[in-house]
Amino acid sequence: AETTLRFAHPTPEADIQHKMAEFFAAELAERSGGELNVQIFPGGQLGSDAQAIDGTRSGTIDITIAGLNNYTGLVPEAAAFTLPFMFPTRETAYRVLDGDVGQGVGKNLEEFGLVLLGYPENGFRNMTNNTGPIRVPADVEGLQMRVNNSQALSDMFQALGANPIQLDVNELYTSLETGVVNAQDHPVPVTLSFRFYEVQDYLSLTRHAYSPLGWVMNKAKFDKLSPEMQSTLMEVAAESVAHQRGLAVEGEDAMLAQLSEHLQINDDVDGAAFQAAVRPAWDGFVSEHGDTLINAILEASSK
Amino acid sequence: MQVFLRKFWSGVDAAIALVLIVMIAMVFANVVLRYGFSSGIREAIELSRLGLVWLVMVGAAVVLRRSEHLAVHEIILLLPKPITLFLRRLAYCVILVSVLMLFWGTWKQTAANWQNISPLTGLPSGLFYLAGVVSSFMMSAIAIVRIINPDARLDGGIDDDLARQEFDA
Amino acid sequence: MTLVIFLSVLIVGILLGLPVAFSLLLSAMALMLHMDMFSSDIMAQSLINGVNSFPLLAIPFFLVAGEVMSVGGLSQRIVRLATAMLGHRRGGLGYVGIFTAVLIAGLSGSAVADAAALVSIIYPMMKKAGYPEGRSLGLLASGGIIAPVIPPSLPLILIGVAGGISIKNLFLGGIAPGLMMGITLVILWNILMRREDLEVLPKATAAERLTAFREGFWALLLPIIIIGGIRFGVFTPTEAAVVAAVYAIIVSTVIYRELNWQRFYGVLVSAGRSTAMVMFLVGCAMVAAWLITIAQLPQQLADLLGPLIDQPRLLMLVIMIFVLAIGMVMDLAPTVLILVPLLMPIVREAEINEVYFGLMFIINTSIGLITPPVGNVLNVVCGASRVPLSRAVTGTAPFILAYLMLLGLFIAFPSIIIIPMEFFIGK
Ligand code: NA
Ligand code: NA
Repeated sequence: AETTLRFAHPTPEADIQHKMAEFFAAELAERSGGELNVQIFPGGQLGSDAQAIDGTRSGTIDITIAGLNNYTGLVPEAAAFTLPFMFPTRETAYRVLDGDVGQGVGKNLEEFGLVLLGYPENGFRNMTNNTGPIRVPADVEGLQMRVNNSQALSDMFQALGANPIQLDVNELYTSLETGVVNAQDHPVPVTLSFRFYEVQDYLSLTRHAYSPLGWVMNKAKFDKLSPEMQSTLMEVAAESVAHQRGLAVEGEDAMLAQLSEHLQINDDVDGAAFQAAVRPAWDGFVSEHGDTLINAILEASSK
Repeated sequence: MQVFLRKFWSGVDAAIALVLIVMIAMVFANVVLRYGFSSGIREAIELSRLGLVWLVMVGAAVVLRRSEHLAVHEIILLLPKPITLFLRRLAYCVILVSVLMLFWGTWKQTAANWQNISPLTGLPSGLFYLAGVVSSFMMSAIAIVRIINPDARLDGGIDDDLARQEFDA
Repeated sequence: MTLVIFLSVLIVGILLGLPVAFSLLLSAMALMLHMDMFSSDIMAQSLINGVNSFPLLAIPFFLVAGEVMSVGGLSQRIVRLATAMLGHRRGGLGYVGIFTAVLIAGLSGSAVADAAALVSIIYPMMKKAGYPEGRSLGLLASGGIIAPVIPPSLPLILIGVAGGISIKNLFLGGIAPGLMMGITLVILWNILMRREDLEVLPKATAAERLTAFREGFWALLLPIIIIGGIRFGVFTPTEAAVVAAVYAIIVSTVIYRELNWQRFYGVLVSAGRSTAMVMFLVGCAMVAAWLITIAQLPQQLADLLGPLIDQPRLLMLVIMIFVLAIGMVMDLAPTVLILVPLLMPIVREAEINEVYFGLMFIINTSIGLITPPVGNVLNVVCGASRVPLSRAVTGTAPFILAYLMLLGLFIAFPSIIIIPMEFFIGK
């Protein structure tokens, strides 16, 4: 029997998330002998991240992808992966997320009706601002810094002496242009696709937080597939994640080159000094969720 | 019954006013704090969105009670009176079916998101959907009464008289 | 087939007196049955999340600001000043309305919020001065949709993101067509008012004008605070709405002393109800939009446009007619989010200027906001003024026609938009 899977994702079609979706759709159609068809809805057409996750849990959407921070209401421990300076390199992040620690958190999503297909990525978050390159923690002091809904990142910028300002992402571009805020942080692909470079002067490669994506499928729909189809789907999903991560690394250089035409890029950042300065952000997480997962991540990272 | 209804709806009005004034105070305080004290209310954005959803959903029931949802009445008023009456009943049947569906949907979503705790406010995100549960419960009660008697006022208030006349004119 | 089902159920529902919001839910249910996916989850998720939006907070705030201004004495003083300046002209308050509309377009990017502000501030004055109800609302609604064209603008940001178009260039390019929309309104208002027999006031003396100005000073300061606040980055457009509300409350209680607790309570309840009416409808439209998206109806239509790539003007004309048709029944945001990613490849292949296309798309979908059967600006205008929809629809008709002629002019001569755009960008 043919099954059609509705795949909603939040980014424009130029983004690598869409490329991954297309790769997944093509491979899955071929390897399942036409049994599994994927219908892609890009650009948040089927709703915001929160709505798409609710939709995937209840089966109105079959597959969705969203920044991992959108799942921390369901699995609070997942916030550990997005803590500042949690992962020194991408490879470490891949190892931890694809290993027992990451899959364990994924398993916890099942009680909410979701099967984890994998952790594609948006790369590391980097800061942009209008006042000057950010090399040491003192450069962050006094910035009007837009922050998202992550408690840890908000704590981090507070600890660094910036003035963290909660703004809806829809108002961020205008706010940067008019000067309500003068700094923001996003992964490179987002800074590019939302065109924040047009209203910012400096991009500093602070790489202060890894930004994994949570790629999930409706569990009931998954369970309905034959065991054979299930393993085909998981295989293709794993390949798609690898494909996406490859595009992310490869694409980042090209994107940085593109960005360098519009703003000054600074790669001279004292990572160790930042790591020490943002410790309070970790303390907040530990006091709320304990340090088991952090220690597990650190242990898996060191292997 | 009249006394109860009047108290109930004026209580709802007071709740709407209260939510609105809290939203204004919160968003404005955020602006003031940003400049006066280099800080802000982290929860402000999320809480004001929550306030908006409750304001809109509960308000939608009030608007239904007052028959103020946008509608084109001109055409059915040209028809013979019994047909007009039938069509108004039919409209409330459609409203009843859709709000019952909304009730069931928001009920399920509230339950599914009761453990979905916002990291910033510590509140369950099911609270957003709960507004739909409360609202559709109120709207289905209104629809049932109006299917039986399309002219039922359901308020007993005095000032509402004026507003309705203004609208019908 | 899907479009036929959606439209026929919607129109029959509306004509039979079912409220527009519930007609949208009914047609959404019809689509669910047609696609064999009857689900209460879809309704709950799309409706609640459609309402759960930070930028839309500007609606209740601007409604409060507007009602406080009219109850608390600010509006009266502005009308006194406007009358002193323009009252001796035929249809003077209309020009005040247009001028304010263009001014307010520089405040925020939401046509719905700006129309709410315009109608709640200026409509009561026009009504009091005996202006024809429908025409006045039509003018103010048409003035409201200048907001998404002149920066700052949420829809322009949305289309920039969805279509990969430079938002800054969209912003700079929007200034000229936005002003042209204002001029179009001035010309049409002039023609319409020629036939109206409105009383014309004697020309005010310089002393009278000065008094009117001094009395209206605090009220006049409001748009300056808002424009300046946004321009110089003191607050965001949504925050500007709340600043406007708080400022109006302070001026009317402390300076004019015309707002008491009882009146203020009335303002809050009434603004709350208007907000509910407008945004419940937005939520219901989102339910229908979700199902239209799932039906992949726009994709099928976009495929049809392929053969026109060699004739950019004709292609543009066809796209604009198509977008207008969709914009008539759908809200601006979902129209942008669904159609733009599909149309962009064709637009690029036909070598149509991207920024020009983006602006045309937003002007077009903004016009859709004031057309029946689903027009959110029309809805908010009726909600804030409590005038029946049908009267506003007929009142708006000549303005829609004028805007469509302007749009036609832009299609025939794209350089009308492109040349000033390149001037502002600095090419
Ligand atoms: Na604007
Ligand atoms: Na319309």
